[in-house]
Amino acid sequence: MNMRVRTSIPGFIAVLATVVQAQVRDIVVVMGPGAAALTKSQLANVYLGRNNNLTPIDLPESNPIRQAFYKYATDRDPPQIKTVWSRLTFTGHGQPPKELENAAAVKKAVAGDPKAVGYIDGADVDASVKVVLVLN
Amino acid sequence: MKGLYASTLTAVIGVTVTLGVVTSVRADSGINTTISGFGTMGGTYTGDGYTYIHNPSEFKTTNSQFDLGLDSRIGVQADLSYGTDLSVIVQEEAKRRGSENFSLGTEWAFLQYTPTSDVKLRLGRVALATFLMSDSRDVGYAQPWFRAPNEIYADEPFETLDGGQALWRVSIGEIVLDLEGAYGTTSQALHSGSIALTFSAKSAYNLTAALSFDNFLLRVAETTVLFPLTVPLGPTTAVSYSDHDKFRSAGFQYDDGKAIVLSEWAKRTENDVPLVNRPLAISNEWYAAGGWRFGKLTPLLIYGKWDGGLSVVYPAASAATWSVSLRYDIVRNVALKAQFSRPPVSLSAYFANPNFASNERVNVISMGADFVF
Repeated sequence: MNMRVRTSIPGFIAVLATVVQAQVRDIVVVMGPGAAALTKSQLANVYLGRNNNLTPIDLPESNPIRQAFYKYATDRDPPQIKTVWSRLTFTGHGQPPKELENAAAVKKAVAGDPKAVGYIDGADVDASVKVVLVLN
Repeated sequence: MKGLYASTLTAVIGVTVTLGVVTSVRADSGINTTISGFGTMGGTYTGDGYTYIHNPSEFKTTNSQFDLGLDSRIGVQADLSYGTDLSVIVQEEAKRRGSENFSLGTEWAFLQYTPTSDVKLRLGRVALATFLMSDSRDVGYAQPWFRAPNEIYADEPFETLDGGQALWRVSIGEIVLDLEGAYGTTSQALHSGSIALTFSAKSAYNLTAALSFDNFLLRVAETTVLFPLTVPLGPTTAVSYSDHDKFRSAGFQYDDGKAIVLSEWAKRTENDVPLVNRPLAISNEWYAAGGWRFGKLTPLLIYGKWDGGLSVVYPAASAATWSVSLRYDIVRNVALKAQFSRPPVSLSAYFANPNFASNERVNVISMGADFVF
C-alpha cells in the first residue's frame, strides 16, 4: 500500500503539471522553421530597436497577448514601448514593428521570412513555425 | 500674440490631420510612404520679470509670465523607402525660430543608403548629436522630463548639420556598439539682449560611440563647430578669427522599466580670442537625474551644475539647480507633464537676461502635453 502511494504521488504531480501547463497559456516567440533559439535579452533587443538583423512583428494593440508579451519580454508597459520607438522613428532609425491582425498572419509572415520574429499564443503553434523562446 | 499662436497651431493641426489621412496611402510605384508626427502643447511661467529661454537661439522681448509659445511645437515626418536599402526622411517642424512667431523649418532631410543592416550612410540634413538626447530633443514624448537640463542642453545652440553622416552598428553577443560620424556645415542666429548675430559654421563634425547592454547605455561624443567670428574690442577696433567651439561629453542611462537613471557630463572649450587672450566661452557642466515609474506616473528628480570659466561672454561662475519633473501617461500617445525648477538668476543657461550680480533664485514652472501620432 505504502509502495503504491509513493509511486502514485510523482505520477499525480506529473499529471497535474501537464494540466496546469495546458491551462496557463504560454506566449511563444516564433520564427521560420530553420531558426536558432533566442534568449530573452536578444528578444528584448529586437523589440526595442537594438537589433537590425531581425524584423519584429506585432499583434494589434487591442490584442491582450501584446501587452503581456512586452511585459514578459522587456519589463515595459505600452507607453514606454511607444516612447522607445518614438525616439527611433524621429531620429531616422526605423519604424515600429509592423502590426499583423492575428496569429495566423504572424505565422505566415515568419514562415516566409527567415529574419521575421513574431509572438503568438502557445495554443496556436503549428509545424509551419519554430518556437525560439517560451515566455511564461 | 495669443491670436497668432492659436491660428498657427490650428493651421498646423489641420495639416497634421490631413497628413494623417495620407498615412494609410501606399503607392504602387515601389515607394512606401509612412507619415508620423510629434508635438508639445505647453508653456512656462517665470517669476520676477526674468525671461526663461531654452538656449540663446531663442528670442523674447518681454517676459509674459506664463508663455504658452515657448514650449509648443509640432513636427511631421515623412519616411519614403524604396526597396530595402534606399530611403528619404524629411522632418518639418513648426516652432519659434529666433522670433516670437512660429515658423516651419526643416529639422531632418536626408537620403539614406543601407548597404547592410548594420550600416547607414546619410546625405543631407541631420541632427547635430552633441549630447545624449540632442537628436530627439524636440520629441517631448520620447523624453522622461518636460525639458532637458539647461545646464547641458542650453550650451549647444547649433541643432542641425548639412553634410554627411555614417552610422555603424557592431553587435558583440548581446552588447551593441553604435558608432556615428557626421561632417558638414551649420548656421544659427543667436541672441544677446536685442542683438542678433548669425553664426555660420564653415565646418562642423560630431563623433559618437554608444554602448548598450541590457538596460544600460554609455555614450561618449566629441562635437566641434568652426565658425568665423569678429569680436569688437572697442568703438573702432575689432578682431576677426576662426572660433573652434568644442564639446566633449559622456552620458549614462539606465532604464529597467521601473527605475530611470540619467546622467551627462560635458566640457566646452574654445580657442582664445586673439589680443583678448580669453576664449569666447568655456565651461564644465553635468546633471544627474533619477526617477521611478508608479504605473502611469513617473516622478523624476534632476540636479544640474554649470561651472563657467572666465571668458569673453561670461564671468567665472558656478551655479546648481534642482528640478522636479512629473510625467503622466494619460492615454496611449499623450503624456501630461509638469516641471519645477528654481535656478539662480545669474545662470545664463536659463535666462535671456541673467543678472550676474544677484544671488536671487526664481521659480520656473512648466506644464504641457507631449504627443505622437
